[in-house]
Amino acid sequence: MGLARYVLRRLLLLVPVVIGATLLIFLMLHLAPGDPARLILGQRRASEETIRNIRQIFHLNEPLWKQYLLWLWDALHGDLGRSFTFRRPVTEMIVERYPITLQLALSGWLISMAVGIPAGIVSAVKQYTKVDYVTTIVALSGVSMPVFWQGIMLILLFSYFLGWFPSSGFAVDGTVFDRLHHLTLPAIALGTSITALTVRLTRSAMLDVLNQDYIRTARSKGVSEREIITGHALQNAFLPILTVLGMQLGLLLAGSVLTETVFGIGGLGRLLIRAVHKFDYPTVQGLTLVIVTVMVFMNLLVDVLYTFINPKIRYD
Amino acid sequence: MHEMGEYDRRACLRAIGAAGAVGVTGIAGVSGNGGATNDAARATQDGSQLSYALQESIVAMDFALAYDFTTNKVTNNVWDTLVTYTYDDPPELTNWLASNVETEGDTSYVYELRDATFHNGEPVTAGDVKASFERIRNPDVASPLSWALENVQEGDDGIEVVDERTVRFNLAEQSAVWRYMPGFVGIGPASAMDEHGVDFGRNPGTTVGSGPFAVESWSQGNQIELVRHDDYWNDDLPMADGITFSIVPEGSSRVTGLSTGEHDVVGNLPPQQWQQVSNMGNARIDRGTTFLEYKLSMQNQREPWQSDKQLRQALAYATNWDQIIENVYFGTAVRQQGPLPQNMRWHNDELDLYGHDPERAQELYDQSGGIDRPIEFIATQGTQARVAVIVQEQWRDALGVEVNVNQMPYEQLLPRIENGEYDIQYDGWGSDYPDPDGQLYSQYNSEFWPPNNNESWYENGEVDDLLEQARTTTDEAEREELYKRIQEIVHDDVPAIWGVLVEQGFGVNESLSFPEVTPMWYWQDVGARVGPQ
Repeated sequence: MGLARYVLRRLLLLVPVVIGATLLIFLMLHLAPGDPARLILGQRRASEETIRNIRQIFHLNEPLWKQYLLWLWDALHGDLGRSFTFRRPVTEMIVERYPITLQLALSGWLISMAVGIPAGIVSAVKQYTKVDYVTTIVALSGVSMPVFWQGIMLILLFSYFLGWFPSSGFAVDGTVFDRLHHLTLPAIALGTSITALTVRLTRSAMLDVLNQDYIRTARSKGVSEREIITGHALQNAFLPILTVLGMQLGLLLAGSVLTETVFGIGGLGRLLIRAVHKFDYPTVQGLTLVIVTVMVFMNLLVDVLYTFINPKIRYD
Repeated sequence: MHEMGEYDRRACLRAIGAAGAVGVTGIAGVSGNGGATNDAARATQDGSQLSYALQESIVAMDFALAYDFTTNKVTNNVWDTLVTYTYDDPPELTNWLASNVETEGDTSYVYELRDATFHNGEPVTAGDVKASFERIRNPDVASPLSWALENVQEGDDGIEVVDERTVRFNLAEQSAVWRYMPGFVGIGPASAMDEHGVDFGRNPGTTVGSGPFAVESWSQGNQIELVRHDDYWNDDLPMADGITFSIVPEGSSRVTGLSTGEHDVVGNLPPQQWQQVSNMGNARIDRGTTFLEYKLSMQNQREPWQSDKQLRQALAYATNWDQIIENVYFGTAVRQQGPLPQNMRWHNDELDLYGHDPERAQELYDQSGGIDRPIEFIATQGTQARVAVIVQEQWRDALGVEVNVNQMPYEQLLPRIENGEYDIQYDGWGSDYPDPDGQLYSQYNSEFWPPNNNESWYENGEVDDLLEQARTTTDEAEREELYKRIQEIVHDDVPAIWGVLVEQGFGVNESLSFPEVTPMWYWQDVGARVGPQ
């Protein structure tokens, strides 16, 4: 099977995955107790007429199966319905917020890669030395600290005490400098939280490879240590690292609820948490669709990248 | 190479120490004024360009959807209403976009408009007023405010354009409270509402109002930038040139922003952070008591609550609200004096209140039929659950009564309330207008049982009649007498144990002036009245 056919097959598999995930979410939301029309209005005073109108507008008076099919049909046409809370098209809200989440996710992910992979390599090469122990302790500390706590600490240090960075917000219409200024602390908080895993994974993958016979052979042939690490070991150790990096990016692209909350960034994560709190079913369903799609695409991308890293891998 | 200065070194050490301390104790917050000023983040130093931090996204810039404590903080500055409330205590109704209001007969109200313009330069006309009110009634808009227009006659006759600057509202029946209703409806241009249909004010770029500020930009979930409406009819407003509202969900981040000067005004502060702000040195808390009351509602269509008044009274005397105010509200609430908030007109000061009196409670409990099963107290997490646990202990200590606190998420609590499946629950209600009708009618009228707001399932035919009478008569002296009588009866029946009136507090930069925080703050143009001192 060629790469193109493989990709096509995987894309077709997306259909049942998306339908399954959105149906599951739909049922979980709608089978929960409570009248959605009442939940939309919360504890506010509301006339019976308003409640009737809300049921009508959002098709809440239709049977459940019909509500889902209506949503699915519209979704196929690019319409994810209207938010119960904001009364705006969900598609528009996602399109508006996605660039923000994308910038934050990529920044955090790049930090994680830039720090985690070299640190993992050094840790493996210098196994059981002070460098290895320090890296391990720092990595374990990083993975143990909740991201919201890290965020608050960064705000305390760099905003409150030193006044170097803004404590919250995202310069949506600002210059590149403004954006970087606002993005630095959240990206560090997000990056740190996933760097630890990257370090540990890189270390263990590298150690596996460094103990292989062909590395010993290369060393005995006088190949330089630098070339052994970068040219032989890393390339072979990279497959598991790539898998995890891909999944991490996929998760980050779904929105970073805690980081966005602590730093007041209006990305997809915050939209999702607000939608869940406010029983905003169309928004939750729309975001589920996006999250599932992104995850499937990230996994597919990682699989495709395997062939570039290791040309021996074939999809037949 | 950059050499770290003495200040920087000290600041760093302080920061590391503080971070460590916070880490150890797990307290996410700051105290004292040890922080640096974040000059880069503040728009201007003279307060002419304000930065205002909100807890969550606003729902929309559509006046028809503006009905919550966050959205209205923004929209009240963009939309003018025909009438509004003064910043007095208690607030009074006053003309605003309407320069004159007259009644014709018992059921017609005529509003004359002042000379005002919208943000797009169009004049405000009677046609715009009609279109705005019709928007609230439009079923496709499904405005949560539609209840306010229930008494306006159906069809085209309900709202009549008399001339370019005069509009008449014809009511279905005489009402003592209609005069407040135009205070909730923003006036927008009919042309823009026609152009954008239901999406008017919901998508960025579709908002046109006539208020002191116009919308410059709006990134939903991030920030809203308002700029001065240069042609605003009131020369004294707005006091600042612009306001940038930022969405900062985390309470400690909002407090930090206030401390560093990134934010000038901070709303929705958790009660435990008020003291922190007061200790900052560069900021203060401006606060005021609201009409928002919280009470322990008993299910009065269920036994033993329905027939045992002495049991209800005993529990009222066994409740120590001072303890709740101190431990749950951290002193940011006051004890409510009877069924009507004491800061509302026609409050009956002569009621013999149910103070904390364990001996009296025991005496009444002994005379009552008692209760031979655990009382079920349903509550959501947070404030409700904290109050429930304190009450559980108080009643056990005072009367030996057992209370089961049943915690559940809101979506589970709601159907339990709607079906009356509980003994006790802790609910809140605040009137939208400074009139006893707003507080009493929906809470004690037997036609308003859940899903409406009579959550104590109270039923008293005399009270129903008196509430109806007080709502329709326009004789002020008669209304006062009626409301005092209603309070007397309801207080004696004690269908609920009246608890607290919460305060509203704003964290404000010390260099700025801020208006009086009135119980009507969420319908007032507070943002337009913040500015350099």
